[in-house]
Amino acid sequence: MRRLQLAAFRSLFTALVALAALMGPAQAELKITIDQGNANPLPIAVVNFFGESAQEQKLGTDIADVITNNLRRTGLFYPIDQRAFIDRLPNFDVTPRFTDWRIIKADALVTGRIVLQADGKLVAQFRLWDTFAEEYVFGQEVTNELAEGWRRVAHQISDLIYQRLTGEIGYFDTRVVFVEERGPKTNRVKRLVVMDQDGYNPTYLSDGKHLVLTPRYSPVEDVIVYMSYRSGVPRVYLRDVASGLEEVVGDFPGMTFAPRFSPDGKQVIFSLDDNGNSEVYTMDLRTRAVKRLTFNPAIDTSPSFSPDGRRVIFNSDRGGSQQLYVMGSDGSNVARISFGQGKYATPVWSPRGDLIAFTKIYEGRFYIGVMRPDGSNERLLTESFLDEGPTWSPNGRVLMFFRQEPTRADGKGGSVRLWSVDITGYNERPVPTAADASDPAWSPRISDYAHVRR
Amino acid sequence: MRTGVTVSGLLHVGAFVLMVVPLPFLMHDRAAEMAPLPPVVDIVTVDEMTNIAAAAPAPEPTPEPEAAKAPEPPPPAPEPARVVAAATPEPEEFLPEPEAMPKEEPPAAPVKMAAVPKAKPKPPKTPAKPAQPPKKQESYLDRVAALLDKMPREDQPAEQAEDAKKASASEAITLRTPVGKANALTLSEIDAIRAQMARCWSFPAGAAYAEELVVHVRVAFNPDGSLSGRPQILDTLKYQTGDTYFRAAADSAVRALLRCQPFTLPPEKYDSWQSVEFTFDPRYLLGR
Repeated sequence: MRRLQLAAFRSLFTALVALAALMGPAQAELKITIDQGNANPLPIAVVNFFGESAQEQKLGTDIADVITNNLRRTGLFYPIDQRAFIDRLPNFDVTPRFTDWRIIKADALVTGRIVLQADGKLVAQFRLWDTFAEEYVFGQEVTNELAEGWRRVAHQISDLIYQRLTGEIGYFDTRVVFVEERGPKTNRVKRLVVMDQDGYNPTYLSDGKHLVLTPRYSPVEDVIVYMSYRSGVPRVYLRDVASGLEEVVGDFPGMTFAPRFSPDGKQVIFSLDDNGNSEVYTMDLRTRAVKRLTFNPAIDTSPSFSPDGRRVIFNSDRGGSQQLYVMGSDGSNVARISFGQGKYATPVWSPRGDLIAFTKIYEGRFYIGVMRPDGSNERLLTESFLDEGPTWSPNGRVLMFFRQEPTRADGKGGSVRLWSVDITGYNERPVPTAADASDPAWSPRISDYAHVRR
Repeated sequence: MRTGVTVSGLLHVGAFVLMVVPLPFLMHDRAAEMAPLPPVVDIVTVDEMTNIAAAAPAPEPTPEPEAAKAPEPPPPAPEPARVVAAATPEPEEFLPEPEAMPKEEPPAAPVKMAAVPKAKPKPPKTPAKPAQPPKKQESYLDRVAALLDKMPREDQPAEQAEDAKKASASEAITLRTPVGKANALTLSEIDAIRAQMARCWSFPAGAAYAEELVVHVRVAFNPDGSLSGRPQILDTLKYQTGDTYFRAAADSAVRALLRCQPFTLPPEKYDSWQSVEFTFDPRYLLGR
């Protein structure tokens, strides 16, 4: 009986499997899905760029240093200490001994050469190598009219390497404008400063005699807009950074923050306060025509355009607490997107369009966070006593903001500094500045606006 | 009557004592008595559960040394030429001294691609492969039959079952037609590969449009688990059309495979993993 059952079961099973075999391919290639990885930084070796003369060699070393520093600061790369290098390359034109680079665990290798031409031009060539594939990946030449422009050359090369290895457009060839603060709390001297994104090459744009506030960079030009009390009343100024030329945009009594540019740089968007009721406006920078977008008895403030210019994110307490709202750029279709606990402030739309950065205040702590434009996926990236005023790197990968420490009972402490954080929430780092600094605003890539410089 | 009551009372008391007093001491002997009995353990490997495995003879690695070796000789010749070209920066990008570089390159160049095949010598593979034509003569039916035949029947003495198993296995090998899944990797073996890759695959976190960055790569393996050539990106059009995000994602996948080798894979199942299509899906990794 048992045997019979087993036999019946066997034939049934055989038939089923035969059917399955008929339906499926006879021999399918093994397929494996890898959906787990790690966010370990990519080990990379940057060799000092070669040069003939002592000056070229010095530049080669300095440029390699800047590239190394840039890549390290991203948190995505792990530059290997040069002292570990085994392969002492004799010159720029040899193919590296890849095994030597794999021994020190370098996945990528950068070599380069500096040539100072007779006309004073600085020419830098570099090559990127893949040590595991044992392949030349790509190479390029970057020039600058002056040897003094070597830092910018290093940033441009960093951008190219970063872009090839991460797919993202680089953000090293950029600048940051901010408010430098010196002196005691009661008598703060605030000056506008523009510096390279890594903290070098600071340039003062104002002398500190008058209060300056909230500079913002144009997304398409080397132009900033900021507020100053130079004439006794708060006024909004446009300034061409390179030439120093300025013009007054207008008097806006009741304006508490400088405007932000539209993505094309032709308009600004801002809020004006009229007896406790602030509303959102835009202004065309050529015609100076002002248009009101919000009509609500509640406070509507901190507007920022989406990168396509079609929508505006702002904050409002029309729902009872200060939350984030999105509307069309003509003021239509207002919709609340934030529903978390606490208050939301200073929303800024990512230049990549995929995220909105904001400051969140919850139970006395400050956070910098991001969420999608529909309000989903809220993620808090930083937390401190006071974090505020996020600004996006032009590639939408990194946020810079300012952080204030609490003032101690003896009146000390309370310093304000610039910080940056990756949108993943990792890699929170201070940005070096000579003194206290607040209100950073990131410039577009210099190579993107250099040709439209006016 | 009185005796009855007494007996009943005593029995009740006895029953009560038995209930209340812990009885290990009573059980002890019996437990000791039972201990020597050997536990009946059937050692079953995972692949028997997850695979419809062939009978014993199946696990021979597929022969075809010719097929596997054939592609080897050609590469060295064309490669160096390509290396020189590759090692020289794109002409439009590098203006000065274009002729100087090729001059320098040749000595070092052959190391490049030539080294990859060289590094993984095939020799170990050849001896291990006595061609076994009969093995190809299997089918699902065979393997199922073989598997079922392996099942011991209760009404058969062990020896008989063993004999029957052998008989049916050889019968399966000789009589039926070919099939390929006999040596499929088990789920846990695949998981081991995935775990190994998870350590090797570094993906630039935070990249936008993660759903666009799923990469398919075909890899040919040597029997020792090393790669027998450069991993081949299957989404060639997407790779070449200049989407920088995709190119970086694909490169990271290739880099991970190169860095991760050799893979620990069961040599007896070589024919099932000599070519593998990997799908790298960063969506989960990027949390989007």
